Amino acid sequence: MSIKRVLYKSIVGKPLRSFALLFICIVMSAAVYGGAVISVSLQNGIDSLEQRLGADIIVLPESASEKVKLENILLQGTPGYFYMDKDIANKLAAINGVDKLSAQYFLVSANAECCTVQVQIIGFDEDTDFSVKPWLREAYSGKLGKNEIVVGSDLSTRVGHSLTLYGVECKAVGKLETTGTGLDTAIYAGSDTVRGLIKAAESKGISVLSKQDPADVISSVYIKVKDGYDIDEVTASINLGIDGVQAVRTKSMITGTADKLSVISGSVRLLITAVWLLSAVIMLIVFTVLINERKREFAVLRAVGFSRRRLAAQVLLGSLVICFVGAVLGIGICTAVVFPFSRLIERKAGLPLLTPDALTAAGYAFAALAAVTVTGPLASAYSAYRLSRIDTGRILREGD
Amino acid sequence: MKRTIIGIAEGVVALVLTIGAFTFFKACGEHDGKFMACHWAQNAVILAGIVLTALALVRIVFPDEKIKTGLSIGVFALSVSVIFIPGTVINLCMMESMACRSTFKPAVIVVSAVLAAITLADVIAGFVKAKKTQ
Repeated sequence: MSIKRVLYKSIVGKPLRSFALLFICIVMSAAVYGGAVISVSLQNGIDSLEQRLGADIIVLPESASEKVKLENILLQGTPGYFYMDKDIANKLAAINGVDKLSAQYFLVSANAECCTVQVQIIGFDEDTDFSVKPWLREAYSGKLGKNEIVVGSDLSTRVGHSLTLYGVECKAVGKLETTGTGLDTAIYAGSDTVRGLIKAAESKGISVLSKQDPADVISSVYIKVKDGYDIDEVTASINLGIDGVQAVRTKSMITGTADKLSVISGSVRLLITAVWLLSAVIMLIVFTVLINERKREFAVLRAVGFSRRRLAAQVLLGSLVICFVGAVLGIGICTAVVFPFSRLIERKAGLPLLTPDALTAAGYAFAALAAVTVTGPLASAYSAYRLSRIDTGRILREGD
Repeated sequence: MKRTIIGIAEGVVALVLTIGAFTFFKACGEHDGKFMACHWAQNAVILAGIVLTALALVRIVFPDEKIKTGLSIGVFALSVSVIFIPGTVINLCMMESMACRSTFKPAVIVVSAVLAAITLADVIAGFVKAKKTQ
């Protein structure tokens, strides 16, 4: 009888035992692979958000509930708008240490044409902008004309198609790469387009502004601080010097999310280690018990001509096969859950989540496969060693 | 025995697709008395799910192995088609964050793919068995 046949019989002949071992391997590989992918996706999300904000300070009207509301817009895509007087930009330019500044305009669409859902519209000044354009160029290199928009990756609108906002036909000229943040559900347009949309909203009886003219308001100001100036000091100068506004340091806005993220990543890493260690210990115990249970079976195999080395190889190969199949299944299940449902996970976690590309994910899958596949033979190595030293005659004589 | 277990698995997964499509992974609901595009995708999936469940049940009941294989080929083809209903054949809502895109579409794709994989295994097992009996 070949070693392959004995191996097949030992796995299929004891389905419950094989399934239990397989289950441990599935859990282990799912924890190692899934944990690593989730952890790196969260890190990618926060990195992309940091890159895209591109400013040192963001100034908002005090009425905008400080940074919380903007954080919701940026991280979770919760639509919102707030306005302050346009003159504030001139006051900010006079603050010592301000290098560049650019105003942005927020607006929330009425229910977009296809679905009853509101979309965040972000307008920026084409001439002064330094925070949106650098990454907007990935999708569109030209200058955004009147009623031309660039859409976030989460919107189904295709390039060249139009989207009707407040009755105004806006043409999508570009589509952005995924960031895993609330910015993916937003529409970007020039300031003239947003002002036109505010007017269109008012003509439809939707009051966005209280009394002001759309040309006299802005929503936020993005500031780049001059080299050599302390960002915290400039932030404090704005908060002390200008009434009715709240200056927020971009980094501090992200810090809260980054802190939450580091706690989650730490927990995930701890979970991976704990599951891996626990599974390895369980396997070690299971294989030790199994060898004791299968002593007679191995003694019979010895009696029919199997060498000690061949018996040990069979134990190692058996654990290798089960661990490999379990790891493949675990990684497969995890891939089928984490990647297609990444938006749902992001929504539930309230954190930016940007899944790694296929090549990186394949790297993690290979690492998890190797880690789990090696664990089985390592856990069964001691049992294989003991097996190679069994006294066949004594076991067969004892009968039980 | 093995093919009966596979048949029961087919029936259970088809039932999960049918019930799930209007319960735990349903598309976006009615809003202001208006149904969105994804509602029709959901209806199409439910209808296909009912047909799949019925075929899977008939497949369990029929004793003839060749008819079982034939029915499994039908279930396989239909479950592969269901994968393309949300988003490709019938449009879904505008934003990825909406229930139809974040939950309904991936769930339908995963469950249909699982069903397709099971039925493919069943079809292969059917052909192997037929070859052996010949």
